[in-house]
Amino acid sequence: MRASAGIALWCAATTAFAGADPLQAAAKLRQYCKACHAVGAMKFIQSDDDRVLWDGLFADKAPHSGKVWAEGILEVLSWPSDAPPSFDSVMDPASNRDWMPRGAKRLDLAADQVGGTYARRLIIQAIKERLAGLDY
Amino acid sequence: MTRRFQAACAVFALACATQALAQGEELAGPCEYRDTGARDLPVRDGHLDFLAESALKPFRDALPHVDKAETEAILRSPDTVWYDEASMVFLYQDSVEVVTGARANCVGRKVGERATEPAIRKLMDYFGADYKFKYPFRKVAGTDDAGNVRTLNFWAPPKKAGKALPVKYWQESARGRWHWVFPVGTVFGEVLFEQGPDQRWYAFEVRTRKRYLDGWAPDLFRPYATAQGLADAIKARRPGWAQDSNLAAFVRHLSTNTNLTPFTLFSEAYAKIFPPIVGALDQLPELQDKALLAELLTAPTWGSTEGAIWKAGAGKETYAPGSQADFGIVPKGYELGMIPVNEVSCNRCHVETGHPLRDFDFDVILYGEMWGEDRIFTWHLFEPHEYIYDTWDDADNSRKLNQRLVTAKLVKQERVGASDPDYKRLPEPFDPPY
Repeated sequence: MRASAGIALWCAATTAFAGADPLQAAAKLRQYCKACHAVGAMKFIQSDDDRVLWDGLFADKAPHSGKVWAEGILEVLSWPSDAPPSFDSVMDPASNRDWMPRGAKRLDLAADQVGGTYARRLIIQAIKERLAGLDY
Repeated sequence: MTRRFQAACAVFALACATQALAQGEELAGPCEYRDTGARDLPVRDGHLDFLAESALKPFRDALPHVDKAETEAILRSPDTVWYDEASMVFLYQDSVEVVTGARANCVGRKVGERATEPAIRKLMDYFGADYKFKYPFRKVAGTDDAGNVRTLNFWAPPKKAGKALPVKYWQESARGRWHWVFPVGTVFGEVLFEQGPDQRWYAFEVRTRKRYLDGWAPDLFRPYATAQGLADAIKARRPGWAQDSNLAAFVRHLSTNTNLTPFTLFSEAYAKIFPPIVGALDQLPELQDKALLAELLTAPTWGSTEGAIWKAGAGKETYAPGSQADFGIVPKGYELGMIPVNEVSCNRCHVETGHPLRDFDFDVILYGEMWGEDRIFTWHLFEPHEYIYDTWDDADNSRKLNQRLVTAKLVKQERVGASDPDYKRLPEPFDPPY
């Protein structure tokens, strides 16, 4: 019994620190971003393959900022809290840059949880881990 | 004398003249009152008919199935309210003194044509020869150059405890603009039809806008989201396609990604708020097998095209098919391939409901606002009657609440509060109308 408990504890700890699944994060990005970012000049969803999408975020640069897409996505998804930012004011009024996603999808993303973790946090964690050289 | 006062004098004179005309002289042209017959159609709690069932039937019979349960249910619900341009009588408001009122969309053009003053004749810069607002506010987006199109609009009011939530309306002043806000959960939409050589109507697109507290979430359904998807469907339905020269050429066109045609959407009239859109169209050749075309349009369950690219190649992309044939997977002249389906894209036009025309040209300051309210162009709460076909004043009941909406309990006179969970007045990118 004690051994089982120990294994269970180990499993729980491992799971907690196992990192975010990048393919799950890519699928969520596709779900909430494709309406605007699978088309046109601000396209970062270039493929139906989540692995290709994910790798592209760290290789391709956004046209305006010149940063890789992943860095820009981190900024616009880093909401002040888990509550969706109000639509009455934008993230950076000076540059008219806003939190993402825009519109109703912001509310949908705010409510979306994967295994008890907010999908937004999952995306952020997966990007941070990849930027830190960890990609599970 | 200020320009505004000069303009006020001019419009006052014009209003008097047009009232005299309406009383004594015969009016010519297409902008005249016609009884829609809607007054005698059924009304019940939460629902009213704008179209007789006999008029609706050919279109109702041709409604597609879509893979989104909510939209599918709305298309088939007896509580969905169907209307079109003729039965609703699309109109705009004119809320600037000295003559205020509701005007059928054709009135702007009529006034411009009749006027001798250059400033008033300028209305023809904003209202076209077809007596509608000019592009991009003229017709259902992407259909300005399409002849074989019939649009059927629908409105699905949301319910709470089994009762439809009403549209709330109010005025800031006794003769000022009527504002209204739709409750959260409201769905508006339109089904686009084209007529086949067999004279039947075929749906080729369904569009929806669903109200949430801070805006409208759009969606759009077509039988095929991509050119390759259509090519695959043809191959599956006509295994001998390669032996048919027309079919083979059609499939080859679909499967080739370097044949997009550069295209630009441009509005001279509304260039101040609507910059050109540069893109491309996929002008599909004529498919001679009309029976196949009918199958392709009617057989599948349609999916959302949100975020979909119909075809991309050679540095271009397009978001919908185009057509060189009057009857095709879309009709000839259809141009929505220029516009991706997402909330930001759709809002480029929809945020303009109620925009005072003064912002486009000071000389037309007195001629009202862009049609629609709360980011929906086609709906209004006024009764269509003869006074909306001229520049009659509010004192003559020009803006007269449609009592059928009252009977159906679908409208309620109440200003929207700041903390109402079901209603919110959306911000407008222009100074508020009067």
